[in-house]
Amino acid sequence: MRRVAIVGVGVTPRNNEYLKDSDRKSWRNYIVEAAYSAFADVEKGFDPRDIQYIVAGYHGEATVEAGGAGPVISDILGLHPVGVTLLSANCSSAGVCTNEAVGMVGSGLYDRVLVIGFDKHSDLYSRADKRAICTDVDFDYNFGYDHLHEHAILAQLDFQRYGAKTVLGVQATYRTQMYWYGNRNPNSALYGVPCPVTKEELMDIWELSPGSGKVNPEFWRKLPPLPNVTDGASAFIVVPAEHASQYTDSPVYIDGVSYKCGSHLISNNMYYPVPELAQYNAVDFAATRAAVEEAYKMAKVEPKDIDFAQVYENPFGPLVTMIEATGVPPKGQAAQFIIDGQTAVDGRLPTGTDGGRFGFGAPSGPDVSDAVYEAVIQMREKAGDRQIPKADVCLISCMQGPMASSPAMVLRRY
Amino acid sequence: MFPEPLYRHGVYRTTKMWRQRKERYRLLGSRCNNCGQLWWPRRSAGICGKCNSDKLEDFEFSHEGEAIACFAEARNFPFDPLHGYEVYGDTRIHAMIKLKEGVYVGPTEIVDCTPAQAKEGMKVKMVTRKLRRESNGNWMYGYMWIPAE
Repeated sequence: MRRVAIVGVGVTPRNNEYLKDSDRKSWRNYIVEAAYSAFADVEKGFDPRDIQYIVAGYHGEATVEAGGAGPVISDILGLHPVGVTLLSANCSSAGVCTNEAVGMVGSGLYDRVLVIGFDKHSDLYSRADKRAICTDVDFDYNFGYDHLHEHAILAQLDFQRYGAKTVLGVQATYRTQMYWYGNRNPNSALYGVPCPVTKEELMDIWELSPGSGKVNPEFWRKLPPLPNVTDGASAFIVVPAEHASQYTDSPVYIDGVSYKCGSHLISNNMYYPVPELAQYNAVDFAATRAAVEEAYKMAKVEPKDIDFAQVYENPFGPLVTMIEATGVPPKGQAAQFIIDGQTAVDGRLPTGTDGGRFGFGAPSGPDVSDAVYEAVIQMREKAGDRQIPKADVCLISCMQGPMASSPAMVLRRY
Repeated sequence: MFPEPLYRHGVYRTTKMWRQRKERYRLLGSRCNNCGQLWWPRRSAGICGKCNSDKLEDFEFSHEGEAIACFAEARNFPFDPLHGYEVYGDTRIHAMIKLKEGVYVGPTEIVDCTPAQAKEGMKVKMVTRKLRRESNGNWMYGYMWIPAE
């Protein structure tokens, strides 16, 4: 297996200024903008015609009206007759694409593969009915539950496990942190959006009455809002590490990848009787733990080696478990790790440094390629005011649906 | 209505829901005759997820369990509801149920109960209720849960 490297990255902005023009653009425009930004980003130049294969991913049902869009993608990029593998794995799509691209380049099948994540939700008129189905469908969606309902149930389980004060402390800390990072990222949906409240102000009002332990509804009203799901795309170019110097003096290596599946039906995630999953319940997010473990093993790293992370910070459920799965906080202490500020720019594990998936503006399909973009910018030390002090090794993980599957990857800059 | 036929008016056949009627009406799952594992929903594709045996048989779960997570979705919920499921009022109580056999069912809905009455740990029993109209106009029925005590 050859070592592989990223030599160019591109992303469409998610800020208000850019997205106010979104009605004039289709998913095809976003794909072209992201891919050609990645070509232009290659320090020593890159001829688009040198791309040998494309792996593209989008959320899946209901977000892009296209039947078998691979040939369309090859065409609009001006890359016919290059082949396209089109994947849909909800928010994990671009992570699964990365798995494929690393396999293709690592095995020697191809030398230059373009990875693209994309989505265009806003073309869908009846979003409330098709809002990111991403469930098992037969016994959840068809019973009137979609993605967000399922996360609300997971949040209830979080409350049971950690207690209200801890869950709200995590939310207050991380949400204000997303604004801090997003305000310093010109591409972020939170860029230029002031955070209306401080963590301390939120925690002063969390309890309905002193000692009651009940959540004050005012807390939820004052919690800084996150942007709506946005439209957009991001892309990166994967080549063999031994070729990277032809393109750039600052390649970023993909040293570990993994993708693991649990169940889309959250009741099955409460207990699934195979050894890798049976030890966890739904809020443990077994797929992420298994994927991170395998990616670490492939990259020959341990949690202590990880400098920063990009994870999936859904506003309701998975944040604590995603941070727990990095293995960086002491076991069982991820919530306190976040509350203590260890995911902030000066913390032990800066996380979501572009604003986080939802603070950056999460379209779903490109969530992982967005995270790769940010990791590469940090590793090049081009992140400006949000630059973290040490960016040598990054863990990227994500989730699909209600904790149904997870990709993970380890990036290194040396 | 428009005088012209609507373009792309997709309608599922009732057979899709009919195939799952035993699961929805009777809580029919699967038991593996090789390893004994119980499964909800039914392993309709016929392979045990634990031991890979194809020796599965139908197993009707008890219609009793315990609510282990509940929340109410009302008009002021932070996101729009899925349309057509407000058959029993505009406040739905969502839950995860642990059946007597230790198998989980969820997400699912508690009815005949106010949000204030719905508590984690509450004993519940299954009822069959209207879920929503299918896109062809037929009623689709399924399991819901009511307080058992």
